[in-house]
Amino acid sequence: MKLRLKNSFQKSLAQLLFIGLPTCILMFALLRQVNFALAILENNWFREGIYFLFGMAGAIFFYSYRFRFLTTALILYLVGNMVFYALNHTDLGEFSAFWLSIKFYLFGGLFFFGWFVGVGLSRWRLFTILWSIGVFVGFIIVMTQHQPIRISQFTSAFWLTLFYSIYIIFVSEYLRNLEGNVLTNRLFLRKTALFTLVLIGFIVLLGLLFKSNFETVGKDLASGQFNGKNNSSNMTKKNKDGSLSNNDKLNLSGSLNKNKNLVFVAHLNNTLPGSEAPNPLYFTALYYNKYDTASQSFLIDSLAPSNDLFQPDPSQIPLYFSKVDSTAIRNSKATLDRKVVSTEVYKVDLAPSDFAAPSTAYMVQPIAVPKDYKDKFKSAYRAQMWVSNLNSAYFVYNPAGDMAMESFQKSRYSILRTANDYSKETSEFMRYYTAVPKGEQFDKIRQLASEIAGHDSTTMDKMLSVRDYFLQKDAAGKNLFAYSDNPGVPGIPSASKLTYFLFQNRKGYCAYFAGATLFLLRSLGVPSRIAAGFLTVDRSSKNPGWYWFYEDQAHAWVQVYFPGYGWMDFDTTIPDVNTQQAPQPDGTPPLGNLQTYFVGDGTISEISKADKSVVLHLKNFMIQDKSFDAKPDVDIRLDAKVANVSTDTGTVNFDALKKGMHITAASSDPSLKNIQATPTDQPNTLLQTIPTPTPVTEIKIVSQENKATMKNENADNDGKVHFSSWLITVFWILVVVIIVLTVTPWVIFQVLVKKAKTSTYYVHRSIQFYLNQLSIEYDSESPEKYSREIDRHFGTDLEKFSNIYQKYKYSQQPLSQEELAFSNQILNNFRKKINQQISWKTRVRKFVMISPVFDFFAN
Amino acid sequence: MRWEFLHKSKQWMKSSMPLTWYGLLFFCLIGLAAMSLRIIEKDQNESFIAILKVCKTIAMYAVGCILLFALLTTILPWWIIRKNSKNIRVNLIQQNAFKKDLFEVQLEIEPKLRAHALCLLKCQFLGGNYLSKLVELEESSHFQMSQKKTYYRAVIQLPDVKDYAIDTLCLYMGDFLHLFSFSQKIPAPFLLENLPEKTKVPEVKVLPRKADMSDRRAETSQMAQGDLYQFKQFEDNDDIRRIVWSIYARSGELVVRTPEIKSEFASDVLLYCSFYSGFKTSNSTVLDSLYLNIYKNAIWSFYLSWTEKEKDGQVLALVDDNKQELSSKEEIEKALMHAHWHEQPIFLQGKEWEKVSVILVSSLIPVGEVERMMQQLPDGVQIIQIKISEMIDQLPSKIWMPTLFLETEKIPEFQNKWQWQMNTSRKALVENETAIAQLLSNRITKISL
Repeated sequence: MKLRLKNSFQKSLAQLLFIGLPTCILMFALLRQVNFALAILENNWFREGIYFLFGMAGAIFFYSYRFRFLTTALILYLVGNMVFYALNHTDLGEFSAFWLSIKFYLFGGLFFFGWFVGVGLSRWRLFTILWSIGVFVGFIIVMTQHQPIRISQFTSAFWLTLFYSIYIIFVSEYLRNLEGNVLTNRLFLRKTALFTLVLIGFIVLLGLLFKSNFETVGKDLASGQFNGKNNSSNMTKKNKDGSLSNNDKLNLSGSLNKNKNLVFVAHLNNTLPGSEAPNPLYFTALYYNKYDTASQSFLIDSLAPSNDLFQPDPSQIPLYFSKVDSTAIRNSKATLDRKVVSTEVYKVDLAPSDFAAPSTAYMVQPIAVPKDYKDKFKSAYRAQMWVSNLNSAYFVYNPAGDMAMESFQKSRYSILRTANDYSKETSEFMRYYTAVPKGEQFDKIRQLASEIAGHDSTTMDKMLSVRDYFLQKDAAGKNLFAYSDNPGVPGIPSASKLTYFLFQNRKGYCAYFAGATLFLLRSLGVPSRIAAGFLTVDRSSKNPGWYWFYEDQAHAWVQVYFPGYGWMDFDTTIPDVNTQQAPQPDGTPPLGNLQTYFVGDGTISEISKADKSVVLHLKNFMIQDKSFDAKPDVDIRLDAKVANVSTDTGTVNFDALKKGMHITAASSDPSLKNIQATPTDQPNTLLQTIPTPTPVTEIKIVSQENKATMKNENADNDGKVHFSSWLITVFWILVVVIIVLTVTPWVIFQVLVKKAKTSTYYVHRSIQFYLNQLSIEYDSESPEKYSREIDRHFGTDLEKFSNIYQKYKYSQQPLSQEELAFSNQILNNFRKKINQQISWKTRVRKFVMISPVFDFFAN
Repeated sequence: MRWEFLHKSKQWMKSSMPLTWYGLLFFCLIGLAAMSLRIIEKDQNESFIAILKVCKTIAMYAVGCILLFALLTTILPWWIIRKNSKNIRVNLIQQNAFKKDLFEVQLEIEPKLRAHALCLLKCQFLGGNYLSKLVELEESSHFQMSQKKTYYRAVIQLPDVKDYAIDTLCLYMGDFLHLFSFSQKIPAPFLLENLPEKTKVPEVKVLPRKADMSDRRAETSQMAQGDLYQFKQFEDNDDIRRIVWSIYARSGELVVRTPEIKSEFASDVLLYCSFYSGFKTSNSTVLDSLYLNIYKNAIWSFYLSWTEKEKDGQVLALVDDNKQELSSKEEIEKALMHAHWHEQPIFLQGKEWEKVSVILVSSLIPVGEVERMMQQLPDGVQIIQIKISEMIDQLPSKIWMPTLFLETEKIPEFQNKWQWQMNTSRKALVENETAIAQLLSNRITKISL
């Protein structure tokens, strides 16, 4: 069978030129934005755009033959998957295969996307509308991933998208209706050129009109001012429930906000080697591994090689049950001089789902807040970390005079000086963690790094040289670098803030010091990354091992990798003199947690508010720190008279408990103290030894189920609207529009009838409208003849009224009383006569039509 | 009935709604986009909201202006056309010389539309149960055309071989983005005749029979002497017995009378074709029309092929219930155009068959009826079976695999085949066809295509 073209070659070429090319240009621009936002894409936007272009061009030409989309696309998809599968199983080394498959996945995704868009725009009419509006909204969504936004970059992309969205509807519709020699169709070329020019003019006009608006926003962006508020940059972000989390991005902005709110309190049982003196460690929440040159901010990359970040959600783990991830230890690549350290974190403003602990954490266990501290702390967890003996918060804050600390510093420097052999590390690891973006500004940083530490042979010495560079003083004995929460921004918005900090301003906050240190170290070939979390300050010896973390302690610093010893914290930020002068007072630590003998996890199957008891459908339970699975699930009655009921956001009333809720109940009741359990015990037999009802002292509502139960109650409050509600809204909008359209003729008629009570003119208009709406038309030359026709057909008195109306309209004589009386009553009689001959069904059907209304008023 | 209702509702909405489906989708999506932006706005920090607000304002202005402009460029020509609907003339210009089912129609709109460049005009022809496809109107210009009018031309394709009594032209005015659509009905009474077309048919030699021609004879010239009107120069193959010797004697020129080129004693070919369909199982109006078109075109093609060869006599036709013998091409063409399937059996009886030379039998005549007819036929009458299944063509046996990857159902030459292939009555029709063929195979004079 001979293949037949659906479209001529010229039409396909025209589709490629007039639809494909503009689409690809837009995709290049959008992919550029996406690349800035997503670290994994590695700023290869041009190559990715080419993938899309290939897909799109291929689809336009391929489907110009009458190929069936579904089957051919399925084959394409299967082939792609087979290649992907083959790549995944190619023996190239685990990491190379991984990256190769990721790259192919990216290629396949973009190619297939281009293919889909190509076929959509060239073949499916309604797709154009979907695509046009989708692209515009998609552009806005992409922008949300890209902060802070450079206004010039944003506006250019915005105008381009707006232009494209309108242009594509016009040109694809036009092309769709053309056949044959499209490229030589002068009318098409002329109209398209004219439309493009007019549209460009329109966009330019809009650009001029709104120039000042964009400039204002741009200035606000540069200065960190928005809507008059000082909201330049925070190390933490505020969640909707009022809690705090570390920011997903580390911004280099004009100024930094600092608040004094207490975020959490922690106890850390880390001591200096061979001593009982506490050794504070920074609490890590996130790592920023990638730098976005466009927005000048540091980004999280969850796909970083050997990622040892442990990021559990404590709010999703039942009380006293633990979550362990040993891959974090393996990925830390640390085997020397490490020990297990534990910490207890009591949250105040820290988000329920957030987890912060010194690196490298691998275990988390939510614990109850002691009864006396329920009002102060919302939730708590215990964590275990694989911690280096050589790590400490004291890297910059050298405790001059403290002999023990000084000897500790010296000893660890000497140990770490021996760790310089990176030859056993994979090339991917080294390439990733020593990557510095290309560009003139980074060349300057490289040059500076070489000047600072070019002569140093060990990583440790390079670190110290960089630290000393930031601590050096000028000829006048004044510090060269200074800490400032308001360092300002360079005059040119697009100028590099890091080079401005390093070479001109020399003032900044932690993000500047960490960023500059990172690139200095990476330039020297030292694997490093930025960690974000909380600075640990040992303010008093009153409660050793207890640390208070305030919002202004949210911090960013550098971690340096030493072979065998793993990642070490390295903070080069100059101390903030102001903070040192006004330390926050520490409170009383939340001591007094009672020993827990029994913990039950399950869902509530029954609640009795009268005696405050709960029947728990038990799934898992713990007795004396040993956990068991209930097989099968059993119901146990809990006595909750003295129980403290809480959620992640604090204590709640017993009434908050609902049937079906997922809860964890814990008991410190002495009656359970003597129950013993061994791992070999039968779980359900063991449960029979527990007294019924079981007295519990703590009930924690687990977040996930809690949210599910209260979903409907909070639907209006959390601001999230689901797709179904969109559909319902659209449906109602359509219903309203249809109702309005169908009712409009009747409403207009009623208005005319109302006015007809006082005016003969409106009597005439009402009659005409009624006849027009009922499609009663005759080919008559004059109003008299027309009226006569109506009268003949319906038995009305329209001719008489017509004569009266002619007199009213053209004669200078006023209407007589009789004529007026006739005019006033004609409408009702007329309608009655008409209605006798036209059924109500026909009348209703005719009256819901809107088009005769246009007809009536147009004539 | 249900489909008809849906079809009518769709048509009603199309002509009553000021929006196209495309436009309706556009407005729904714009609403969704605005809502999603609102939702996104709630989740963003203030730096983004500041930009988003500016973007939203601009987008609102841009979309508003474009839509307003689009609406104006649609509503203005619509208003002008509505107001001057009496000044719109619809003229049938010509039938395409090569494709007879294509008709060119011209619209004259007065006054001249200034906004036409931005307005897309489409039209649809309505008449009886016929509703044409939407046809785009192209502006045409010619120096002879009035400068006060706008001229548009539209080409419509008629699907079936029959006449179409068009009474209304529905004009649709749309904007350059195809979002709005306003309609105006204009009375346009004219008749479009889609005549049968010549298709490829095999050469079949027919034997003329002496038809009833007693009332006809060669014309005799009543001209005055010396008048050479109705005379022609003698040529090869002209009958020397018809040479006008008196003229030769006077002028020395050999001439013959033109009416006498044909022999007044020659026998004619009388063709009979029946549109009787005892076959009510096609279940598809599309297929009914298809069979009819195939049958009409086949008859016409046979007629033309015999007319070209028949030099002495002429080809006459008895088209179905038209008992009058049709002799001119025009008459036969029109008779074929008006013919349609009916349930009345073959009407010729007994001796009436004697003058018939050739009978064309369609696949829709039940085999029993053909048998009955054959019993009445005198010897020498040829029966030609027009096998509809062969005229449609079967789909290639290996079509199913390509169909997986090719939209064969949308390829014009495959469309009919798909209809045919998927029809439930196909098997019964083919069986009837085979039975007729079997019956005819016993006749010496049968010719099967």
